[in-house]
Amino acid sequence: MSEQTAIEQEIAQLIVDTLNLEDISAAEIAPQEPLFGEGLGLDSIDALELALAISGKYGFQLKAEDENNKAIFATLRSLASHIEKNRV
Amino acid sequence: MGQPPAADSSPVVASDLLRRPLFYHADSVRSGSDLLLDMLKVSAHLGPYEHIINDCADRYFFTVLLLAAASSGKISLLPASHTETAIDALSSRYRNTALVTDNADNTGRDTIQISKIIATDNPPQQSAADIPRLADSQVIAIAFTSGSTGEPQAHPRTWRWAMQEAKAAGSALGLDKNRPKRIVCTTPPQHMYGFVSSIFIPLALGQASYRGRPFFPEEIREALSESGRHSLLVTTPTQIRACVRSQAKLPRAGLILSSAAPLDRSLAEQAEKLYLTQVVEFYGSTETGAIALRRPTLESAWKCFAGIRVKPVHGELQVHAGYLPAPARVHDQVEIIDERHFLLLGRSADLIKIGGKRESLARLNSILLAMEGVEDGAFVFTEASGEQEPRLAALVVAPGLPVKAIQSHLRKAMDAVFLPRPLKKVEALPRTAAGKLTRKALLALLKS
Repeated sequence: MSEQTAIEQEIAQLIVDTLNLEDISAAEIAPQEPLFGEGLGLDSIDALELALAISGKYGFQLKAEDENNKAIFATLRSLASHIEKNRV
Repeated sequence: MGQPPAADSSPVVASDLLRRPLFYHADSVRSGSDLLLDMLKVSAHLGPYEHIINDCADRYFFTVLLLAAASSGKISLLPASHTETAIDALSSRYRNTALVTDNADNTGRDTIQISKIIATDNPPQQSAADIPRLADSQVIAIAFTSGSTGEPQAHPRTWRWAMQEAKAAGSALGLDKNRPKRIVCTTPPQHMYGFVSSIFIPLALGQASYRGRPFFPEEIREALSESGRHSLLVTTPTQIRACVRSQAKLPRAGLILSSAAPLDRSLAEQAEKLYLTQVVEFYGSTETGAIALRRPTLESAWKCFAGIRVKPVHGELQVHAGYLPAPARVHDQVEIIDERHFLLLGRSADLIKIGGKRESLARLNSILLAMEGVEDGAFVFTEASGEQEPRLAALVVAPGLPVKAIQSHLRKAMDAVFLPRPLKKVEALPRTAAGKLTRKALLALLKS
């Protein structure tokens, strides 16, 4: 299991705070585990909540770019790298 | 031509729609005749199968496939989600199924890639006089909702039902064949709300539907900008809330339609103010289809579409419509004003709806209680309020179990939208002397 980078830590905290995941700590979100479905069990309402929080914090509007938000929302790592590329 | 067509059937694509744009995105449109030709190409590949699982996300591909299957006498199954679990459940429940998809990642046995067929097959020889017809009574599709027993409930749709419901719903929105509008829909076509508004309103009333499924506010903004003024945004309270909260700058829509969950009045007011347009709401259920409309900022009573009548049965709503196989019941508490108007008083306490999906609290509780080490437990529904999406929370008595273990048990047994946020461990549930739990007591314990 790889460790969270600084930006991953920051986004893991944002996920936990935004989505009310009281039973999990930011450090427990493994960077390469799926955020949705079998992994953390997030759903489409969470994706909208996160998009809102991300645009508030990083100043850009999130787009899925593919049908099931698969690529970007796949893991903490993919989300973090998308945010790093697009933040303003 | 041989025999005159039977009166109780109609063409898959009405002849006056052959030159009309019915689907579009970015820079391309698909007309009724494109639809017809592509439908014939796809039909040729469905031969050996009885049931077609329609997994297409693109609304044009979805419609091509739906009509191809129906005109070859096959039934389309509409999975409640694109997940492997939802699709596997259908292929093991129904005989002889093919999965037809526009997702290039899906490559299994009996999986057909629709975009490949449409792009590479030669167009069939076809003249407009030979447009296939469908019998009114033919079941063209089956939609699924979760049932109280665990097995999803199947809801068949006949050709007539789909077309007539769309006509009634579209007319209630002021749509008509002579003044076509563009429709941007955020709900998948496999869901009955998306099915009627983004697939059948175009087929029944010659409107044009945006092929994609915008999801985030930014995507809705882009889709509306591609669609021009006066287009119709078909969406849900969840997405309206996301747009309003992010203050998304949407191009002016002709109308915003909301359904799939109750829209609270203050949210409707904010959306009307921010987007300078009317927000209207459909009432319906998978059992009845959409049946009534209201504008929540102006009225609380629902007005039935033309041809629909409602009656009270034990305080619940019974719906009569010519296209329903039998009068249908909705498990909502209502007050009937007259046979075309009613007020909604509330949902039956056991049934909850999140993200357009319906579930029974009793069933969720039984999943929780079935876990070894769980001594007592209950789900509690926290309703939508202002900025808050409706969600479930759970209170659990399980001294020996970590919260994570309970969460992962639940994750395997239910759709992610029903997972409790939060799941809180407590020493005991606030049961009354009679062993009952009230929502109020559960909410109080949750907050403490």
